[in-house]
Amino acid sequence: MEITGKALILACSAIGAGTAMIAGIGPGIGQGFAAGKGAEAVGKQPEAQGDIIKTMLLGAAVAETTGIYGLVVALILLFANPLVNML
Amino acid sequence: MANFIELFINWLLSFDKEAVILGASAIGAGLAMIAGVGPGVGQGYAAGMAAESTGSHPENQKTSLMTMLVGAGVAETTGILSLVVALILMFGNPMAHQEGNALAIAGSAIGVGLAMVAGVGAGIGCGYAAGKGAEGAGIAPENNRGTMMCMLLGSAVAQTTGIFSLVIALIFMYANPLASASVGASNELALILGMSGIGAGASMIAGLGSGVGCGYAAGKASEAVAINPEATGKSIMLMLVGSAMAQTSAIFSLVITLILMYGNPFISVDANYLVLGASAVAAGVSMIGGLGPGVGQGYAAGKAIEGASFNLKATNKVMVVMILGQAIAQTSSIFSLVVSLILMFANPLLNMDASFIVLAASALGAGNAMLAGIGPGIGQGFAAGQASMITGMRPRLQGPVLRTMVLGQAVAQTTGIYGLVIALVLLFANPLVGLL
Repeated sequence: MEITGKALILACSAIGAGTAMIAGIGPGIGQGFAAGKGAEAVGKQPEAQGDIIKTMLLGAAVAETTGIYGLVVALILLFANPLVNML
Repeated sequence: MANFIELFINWLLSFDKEAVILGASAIGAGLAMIAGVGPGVGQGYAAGMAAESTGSHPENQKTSLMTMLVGAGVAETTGILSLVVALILMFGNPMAHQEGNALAIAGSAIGVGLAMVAGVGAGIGCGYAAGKGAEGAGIAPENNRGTMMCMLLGSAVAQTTGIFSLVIALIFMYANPLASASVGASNELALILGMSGIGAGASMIAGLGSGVGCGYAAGKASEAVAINPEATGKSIMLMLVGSAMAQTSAIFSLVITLILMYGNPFISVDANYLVLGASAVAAGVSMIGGLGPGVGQGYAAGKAIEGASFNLKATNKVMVVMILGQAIAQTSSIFSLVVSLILMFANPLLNMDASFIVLAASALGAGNAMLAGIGPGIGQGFAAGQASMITGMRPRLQGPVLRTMVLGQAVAQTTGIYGLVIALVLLFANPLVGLL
């Protein structure tokens, strides 16, 4: 069971891609908090529902960024791996 | 030249069987003690709340202190259970003399320690309940019987996952099915069994979430009953229904653990033993994603109790919002369960013709990616909680509140779906294999 240098890098890339996705924990918690506060605000001021949802979605979009960074790194490691070409 | 994994395994096997198992037991004993985080946090919170309550209501100091101590005593349980497991591993180690292969038994010893980590949850949760109980005792000492009853009932539910973990640890220590399966087996098969032991223990860590969540619900129920004793029946009903939902992901984990122990699908498959072993670990790690829904659904239950206590007539409307929100928060643990089952029963990596290390690492990566589900589970549960609470205060607005909640929860789901997609790509459309 030989391991070539290339295989070692690709194996580490697989683990790295999976580990990068752990970043998704943060946006999940944060956006959920935003959703909760949004629902609460609609309950208190139903006439402002449109503005509340707009603000919530804008904030949630900002909160999404780090999750997308994690996804981008995982996708690069999987589909455009720059490390194997450095050998 | 043998690869580093084979070198490591051969190096382990160059020791006496007892030495390898006792070494792993030392690691297991240390891991088990991580559970001490929970009671530390929880009891600290309880102490703080009791001190605050004494400051605001010095005349009720005795009732408050007594409630806090009873609750903190319950919160101590999982810490003591872990201590007992660690002491058994150190002073009366039953694993060193189990019949079977050292690698299988050593993996089980680490699994014992990992499983006990779930106790963190019950420690935090029951501590929260103790704090809320102490606060309630300060505000309304005349209602303290009901408050204590709620606190203890809810804390008992929150302890469940810690007890599941204890049972798994005791099975590993005294009736280890993986050790029995390794009698007379090759070292390769024993390694798969040992890694299954690690996976089985890791899967149980998800119980941490249910412990925190159910404890939160218990605290909110104690608070509601202290302020308004008429809410006792409905608070207990919401607490039990909500806590049952919050237990789901821990039960998923228990099922995966029991499959790895008693119906291990990896031992009868003809494939590379390291890919099989890595898949066993990944199947367990994937289940840790269920930690999020446990916390979130418990939070939703707690806030639903708070909402219903404002307006007992709206209890049914509140419960609908709570259950719907909790069901959405469950998604992540179902994703985790699906990936875990794929790894065990329909694993595409096992039939692939590629370097074993890339396949084994892809399995581990798929398991890790599912940890992303922790976030959506917590966040969606928070949303469900706020929506339930406001529905209690303004039941007429149930419709718009629900719509906003579901929309926000859908956004919060995205990162969990990203994790799932990466896991499925690693399993079914692995681009790394093509690069070899």
